[in-house]
Formats: sequence, C-alpha cells, structure tokens
Amino acid sequence: MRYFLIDLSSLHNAAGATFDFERNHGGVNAWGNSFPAEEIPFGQTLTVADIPFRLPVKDGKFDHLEALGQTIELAQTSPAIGLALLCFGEMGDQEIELTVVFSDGHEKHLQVRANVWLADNSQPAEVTGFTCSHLHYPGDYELSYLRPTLWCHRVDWTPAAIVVRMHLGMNPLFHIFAATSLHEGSDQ
Amino acid sequence: MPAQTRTVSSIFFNMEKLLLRQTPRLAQALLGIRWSFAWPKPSIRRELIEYSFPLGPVPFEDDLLSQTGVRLISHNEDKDSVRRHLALGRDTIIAVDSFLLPYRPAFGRVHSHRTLIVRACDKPGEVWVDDAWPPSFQGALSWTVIENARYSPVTLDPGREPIFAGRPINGEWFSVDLDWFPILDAADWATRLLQRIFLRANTITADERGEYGLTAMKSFIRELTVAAGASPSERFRFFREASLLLRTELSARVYFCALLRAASVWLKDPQLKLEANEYYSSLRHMESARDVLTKSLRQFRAVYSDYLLACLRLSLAAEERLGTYLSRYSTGFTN
Repeated sequence: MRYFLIDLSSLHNAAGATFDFERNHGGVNAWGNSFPAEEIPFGQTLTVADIPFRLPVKDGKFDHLEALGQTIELAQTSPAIGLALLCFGEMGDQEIELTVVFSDGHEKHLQVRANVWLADNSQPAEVTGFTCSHLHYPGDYELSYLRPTLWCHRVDWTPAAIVVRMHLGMNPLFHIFAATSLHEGSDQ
Repeated sequence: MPAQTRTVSSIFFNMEKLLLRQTPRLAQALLGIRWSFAWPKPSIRRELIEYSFPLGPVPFEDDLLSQTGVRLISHNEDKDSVRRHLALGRDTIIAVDSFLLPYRPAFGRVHSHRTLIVRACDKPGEVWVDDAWPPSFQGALSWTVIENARYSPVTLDPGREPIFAGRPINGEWFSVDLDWFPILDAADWATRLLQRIFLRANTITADERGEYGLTAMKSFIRELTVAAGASPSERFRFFREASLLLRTELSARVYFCALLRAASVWLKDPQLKLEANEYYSSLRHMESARDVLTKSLRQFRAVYSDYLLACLRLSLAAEERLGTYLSRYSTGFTN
C-alpha cells in the first residue's frame, strides 16, 4: 500500500487542541474541552491503524477542520483505492457525505462515520484510534473521567481511479484532523 | 428498538426505570403518549431545564394518568415529604445539583442539575442512590449529603456548564406509580390512544402558554432564524432554551416510537412499525439540531444557521410524513 498524505491546513477552521498554559482557549464543544496538544505530534506523521497521517504544524489558532461543505483539491497522478480520515465526532458518533470526484468525471458518494471523541477512561484504547491520556478543561480544574480519541476511519472503492477533488458534507459536529489517500503498490 | 440509540432526558430515563419494575413489557410504550410539538411563550421557555416534561395544552402528567394509568406526580410539599415516601419503601426520583455529590467527577467544580433515583436502605441515615448519568453510580450515601444536593441555586457558569444549569432546585421530587388500568382490548386501546394523540397534535394549536403541533414547529424555525442574527447574548439565551426544548421533545418522541411499535402488533399493522422505524431514524435531524444549538453556546458561526435550518426542515418533513400515516387512525374519534 502507498499513501498520499493530504495537506488540509488551508482549510483549517477550528481549534481542537490546547497546550497546558492555554486550556481556557479550548472549544471543541460547548464545555470548552480540547485535546492535550502536548500529546499530539503536530508537524509530524502520526500512524493510526497502520495508516500514516500528516499532522499540521501547530502555529496558529486553528489546527483542524469542522466539515462545513469544503472542497479539497488534489493533484494526484496515481489511482487511489480509498481514503482514510483522522477524525472524531462531537456529541456522539457523526456522519457526513463525502463526494469523491475522479479524473474521468465520475463521482462516488460515500457516507463517512466519525466515532465520538470522548470515552470514559475505563475503556481500553483501540487500534483504530489515537487516545490521549487526559482531556483538557477550561479553567483551573481537570476531571479524570474522560479521554479524547482521534479515530482512523477508512473508505475504499473500486476500481482504482485518480481523484481530483473531494467535497465534504455539512456537519459541524464532524471534525477532521488529517486525511490520507490510499494507493496500490508498495513503498520502495 | 432500532440500532441507533438516542439519549433521553434523565427524568424520562428514570421514569422508565421505575416503571420497568411494575410493568416490564409496557414501560417504554406507556411513556409514549405524547407526540405533537410545543413552542412555549418566552416566560415558560425561561423555566426549561434538563428534566422538564414535554409541554402541551394538557399537562403531561394528566395525560399520562388518563391514558395509561401511570401516576406521575411532581412534589415539593415540605422538606420531609420525600423521606416519608422513602420510608414507605418507595423508589423516588429527585432533582440534584452534581456540584454537591461527592461521587461525581465535577464535585465542587461544576454546577449542573438533573435527576436520579433514591430508595431507602437498611443503614439508618443513608439512602441507596441509583444515578445513571455517566459515570453511573449505585451505592449508599448519607441522607445529609443527598438532602444538601437537593437545594441549590445551580448557578449558570457559561464557561463550565452552559446548558444544564441556571435555574435553582428547591427539593422537588417525583413519584411514579402504575394505577390499576385494565386494558381489556389492546387493539381498541391503541386505536383510541392514536386517535387522541393525532387529534392533540393536529387540532389544538395555541393557548396562553404557547403554540402546539406543526404550527408550533414552524414558528420555532422562524424565530430561530431571527435569533441566529441577533446579539450574542440574545442568541445565547434563545439557543440555550431551544436546545433544552429539543431535548424534551426528542425524549417524548423516543418513547412515542416505542408505543407505535407496540401498537403495530396489537393493531396487526406491520406498516405502522415500518413508519415508526423510519420516524425514529429521522429523529437524528432533531438530535443534530439540538447538539449544534448546544455547541453554538460556546462558539457560533453563521454557517451553523444553514445547518440548523436544514435539520429542522427535515424534522418537520418527518413529522408531516408520520402524521399522514397516522391520520388513518383519526377517523371517528370524538374527545
């Protein structure tokens, strides 16, 4: 399998992680929770469920995107067999429609699911997720009950085809940290 | 129930739990007697809380009793009334502030109101607590601690808890009992119930407390559009009340679907079950609207308005579709 790590930074519109000194800037949900930025390898590659994802550099307010109908333009040259998203659902599992547009003009309409980002700390971590050790709360307290997770969700298609763009559906509760397209073959 | 699980308010969840002990097979269906939609006047919306009953031209408790025999009573007589009830060996639903419960992660940190179940236990000065709100807790607790948690201003701190706070609790508690209510002919009872529910949802549209039915839902959508463009403080107030309202409306609908599924068996109407399942699935639109309204309390973008309106229009369409099917049960009923 070969991977094309997609750069989503131009589409970032939301802040998902905070450093310890700025917890009160958290805002994934109504309660101001956020991922602990110290534990997320921003600017590096994070592998989840054997799929590599390129995380952005954390140098501004925004570090990921809420799915609000954006279009992701791609300049791919080899046919893809699928797409993986590093994502999470806010306030429960979430879904969006993802439209993949291929170079020959045809489209695939896919339903993509993002698991809920928060689970209680008694649940074991899963291989399809990247779970942090704790959750950030705004203010001068920390509660140990919940831990946040970034989930790898993969969709596949046949036949393999060159993707030119993808249209995200609209769901403010569906969050995407990174995306990787999947291609046949192996790395040298 | 279909695969997707929908959350309901704590009062509905706890009512179901108490009724399951008295009528294991019918508990969910009996709580499903209310459909319609209520858009209350501002003075009533301000009083909405996590465990509000669904509103209507007839109080929910009255309808429940007359149609199913479930006697749901809201109490606040005096400080000792709940202890007297517990002393009779009765399970009781009480309203609490999590800030004052030692087993809660947010103990001493965050004010939030909801309900839980208590019952007497053998050890003097203690009660058994059954709290299903995650992380759930079951165990003995000093009555003094519980009593303390029943009285609180539940101060609204938008930064920490923007939705489940903002109205004081003053010792209110709830009893749930099943009166003798013989159902000699399940099909006949279901038919009359569906007739009544349909009539309620479609003929009584307004009173001094608000609007009801599809008219109310349309008014709600119109006013939400206006509120989205209002000042941040006004939008916060409206969105908060709207989220709490949808929580209550969704809860009633989850149980309404249970009633429809049971009725489909009694009425030998398999299509009714399919309609109920379709409607249950469509509740995801109202659920999504509720959740984006809640999300917007901390951070709002103008584009959320489009999403909210789209969700609510889909909800409205689902209500209309179900109403079209249920209209076959409306013929010949006189109140």
